[in-house]
Amino acid sequence: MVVERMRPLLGTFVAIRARARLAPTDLEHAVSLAYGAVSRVHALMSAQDPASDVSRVNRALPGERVTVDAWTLAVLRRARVIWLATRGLFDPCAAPGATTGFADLDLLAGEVRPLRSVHLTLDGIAKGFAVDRAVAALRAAGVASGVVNAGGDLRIFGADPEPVCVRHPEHPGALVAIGEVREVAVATSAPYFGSSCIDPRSGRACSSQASGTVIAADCMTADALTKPLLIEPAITARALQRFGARALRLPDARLAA
Amino acid sequence: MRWETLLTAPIALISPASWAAVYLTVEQAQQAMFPGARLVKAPLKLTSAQREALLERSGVHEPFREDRVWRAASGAFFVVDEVVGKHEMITYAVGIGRDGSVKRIEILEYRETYGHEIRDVAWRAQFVGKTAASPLKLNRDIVNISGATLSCKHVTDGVRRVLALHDLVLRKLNDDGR
Repeated sequence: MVVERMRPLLGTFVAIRARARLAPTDLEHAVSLAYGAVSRVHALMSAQDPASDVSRVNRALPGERVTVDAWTLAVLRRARVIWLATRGLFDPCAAPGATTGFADLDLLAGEVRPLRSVHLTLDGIAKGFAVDRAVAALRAAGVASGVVNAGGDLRIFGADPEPVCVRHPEHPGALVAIGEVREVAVATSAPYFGSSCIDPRSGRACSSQASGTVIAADCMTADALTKPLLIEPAITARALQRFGARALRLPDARLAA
Repeated sequence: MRWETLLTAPIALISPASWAAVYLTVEQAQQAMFPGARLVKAPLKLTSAQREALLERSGVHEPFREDRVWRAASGAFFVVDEVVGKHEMITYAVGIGRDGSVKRIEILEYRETYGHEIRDVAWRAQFVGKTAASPLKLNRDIVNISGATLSCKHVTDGVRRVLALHDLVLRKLNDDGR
């Protein structure tokens, strides 16, 4: 049996397709659990919600210890690994005119301590993490295969390959078929629909009109690597190798790594 | 975790004129949000003052259709509404508890239209694949799209309007008027 649903979450549309030999009510319940995981990520990591872990870190005084959820810490730890692997190109504390950065955030056991006031945003990685958690919830509930797609950051799980398309950066209504994949995450960053990423080296918005797509084992990693891919593909290539990931830039239409 | 990428070469371009995904009918959404409950259509006739208040509280300009509100015996409400996406409407449903809180939001229909792209020959020339001569009606069942969709801000605005509707009108339909 297959169920497909879509709900507005994380500021975008989160679609779930779930296939399982489960009773319809059990399958619906599994999908609801998956959306529950996504909602939880939203509540913990939304910069707009003053009660979120992220907002509390941003309000903290220098040296103040902030207790955060295990999920928040997991994202921060992975962000640190990717920050190091991309030589700072992925930086969740990058902001226009920022004088502090990710190096000013101490990650401890169960808590975070900003050494100086930081402007933390997990927008460039939390969506991917939410997708991973949704997939984990579906699997735990007995769903054999499916797709979770949060605003274009997606993860495919199960035995069967599925076709994937990427939106063309110059005409987002046109789709570029990149082939069939199984058991991977695919994330794309692009300037259409008004989003842009900050180049941490300059503090300015990245001017690239290209789109960057990363194919990796998990969506959190894929999501995070798309920004460095747009900013500086050469440095990102080593990080891609390190994580066993592959990348595609459009409109170059060449596959890297 | 093992994964494989099987890449077709060359990369092919699909230029759909439009595509739509229907996730739930109204009846299916009702059953999903209120399993086993009997929903009765709530008769609404909004005054212009009420409509103005809804606009002020939500910023949503499209007229609200009054004929898609249902009430459960528990005093909860099921509302179907539409907001604009990029070029097309997105139909969604909101379940509101008796206390006025949002129980759940489900997208019923999501549509995208990109008719103007397929006429642009020059940029399309770099790809091998289907051309505008035969625009594909994309079968959404078999493709997964990576790349940002719209923000869901319009749906969020719509839900805010539905909550305002509950505050102004719907909760008074409950027996004790509270």
